[in-house]
Amino acid sequence: MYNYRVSGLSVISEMELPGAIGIANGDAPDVTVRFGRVPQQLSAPSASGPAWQREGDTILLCVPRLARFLITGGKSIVVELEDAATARDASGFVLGSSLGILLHQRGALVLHGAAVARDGRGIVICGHSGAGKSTLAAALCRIGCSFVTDDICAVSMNTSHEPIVLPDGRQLKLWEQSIRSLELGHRQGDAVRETFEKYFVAPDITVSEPPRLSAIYLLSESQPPFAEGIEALALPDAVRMLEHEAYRPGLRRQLNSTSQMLAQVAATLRYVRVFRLTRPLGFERIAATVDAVMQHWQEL
Amino acid sequence: MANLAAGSPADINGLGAHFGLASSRDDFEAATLLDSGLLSHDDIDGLRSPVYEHRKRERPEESASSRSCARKLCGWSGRVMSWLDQADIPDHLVPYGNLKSGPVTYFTRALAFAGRQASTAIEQAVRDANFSQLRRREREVGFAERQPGAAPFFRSGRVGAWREILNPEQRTRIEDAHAAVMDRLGYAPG
Repeated sequence: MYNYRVSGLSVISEMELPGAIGIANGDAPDVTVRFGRVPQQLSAPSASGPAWQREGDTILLCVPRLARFLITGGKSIVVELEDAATARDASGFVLGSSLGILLHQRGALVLHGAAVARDGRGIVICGHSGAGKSTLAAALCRIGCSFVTDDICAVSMNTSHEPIVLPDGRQLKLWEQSIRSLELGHRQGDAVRETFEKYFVAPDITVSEPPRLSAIYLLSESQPPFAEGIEALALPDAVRMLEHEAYRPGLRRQLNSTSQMLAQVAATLRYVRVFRLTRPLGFERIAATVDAVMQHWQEL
Repeated sequence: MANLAAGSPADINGLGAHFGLASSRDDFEAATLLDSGLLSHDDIDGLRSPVYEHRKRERPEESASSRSCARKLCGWSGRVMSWLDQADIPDHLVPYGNLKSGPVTYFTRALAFAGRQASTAIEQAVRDANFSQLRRREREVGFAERQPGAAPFFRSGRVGAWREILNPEQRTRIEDAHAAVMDRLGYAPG
């Protein structure tokens, strides 16, 4: 059995979860991950999509030719591998999609983003899939920031009711082109999935404690007439942005009420400012983006 | 479409183009709940049709979206035939020349295919989409979908203008490579 802490939860798992933060075997875990029988379909689903079904507090996730995952009550993930599939290939869907769904089942505020920290203060970088969140986070880690999350970004409150970002692992996940452009080849680990050109990359520093969240940056692309720069979002836009940048927002709306989400967002925005970071694409421009973000963040 | 929906000329940079292409990763992931970065091309292709159907059920008034899932590039002929020769998704072909010669007629037919009623507003929407207007607007404020450093996106709008831009060898290469599909669609060789 393997023991991990992921997004603030203690996890005991029959499956090794590469990239997750290992911990000593402790008290009763928050979440169990085990192998077992998972049905092809739920008996009376109340909602469904191309690769999933939902019935009550259970969600069935089906990854073609790989595995089925049964995520229940925010506490349990059961995995059944398809023939010839490996646990290693399925692990990415445990730490990613399944965990994100489970966190929503627990009513957490979960953003789809990468997060880094410095001196106990963290920032989250949100944006479209493929926008460059992980690459920017990796570039910030390269100049001394500590790695916090690269995908599932759970925001919770500390004992002083200040928002904190909960780490989701020890490693970034970057495409080969990003690794080459950032000259992180010496940090490259295994592929996230067999034959894929996306790899685990170990940052120099990871956080030892969840940092306090100070700002959220929404990545945008600068093309005329949208100019480069960092602009603060007005409160209504910030609220709307956080709702939109939630991990799988459609599922979140199904599982958690709007009033609950708004309460979480309001509590977060008491301490956190939200900005649109508009920057040109291209690896050759990333150093300038890193400088802009660091200068802006330090002045907050 | 944007002109018709707004009832006035739409901003060419305010069309939500970041949510416009059919291969959006965000939409794919929202529909499937799966991380597209961990799926093979074949897996994504296999789920594309169910994703379209799901999107149509959930948001019938919207078109498709942005940051792309990987897809096969087949060249112009392959891309056209991959649509025309499939039976999973209903399609309606509108040759650019038809749209140019009879914009109201052919736009109305396209809207009817998409389940939208014809209306007198179509004529004004078509007038507001006139190519010279789009070209002028791009000169004034830029166009977000144009690649940095590239020539203007809205070039001439004339049917067959590509033959004037390309040299004879380039024209021949294109016509040789795509003769079968061009013939099927009624494009006469230059």
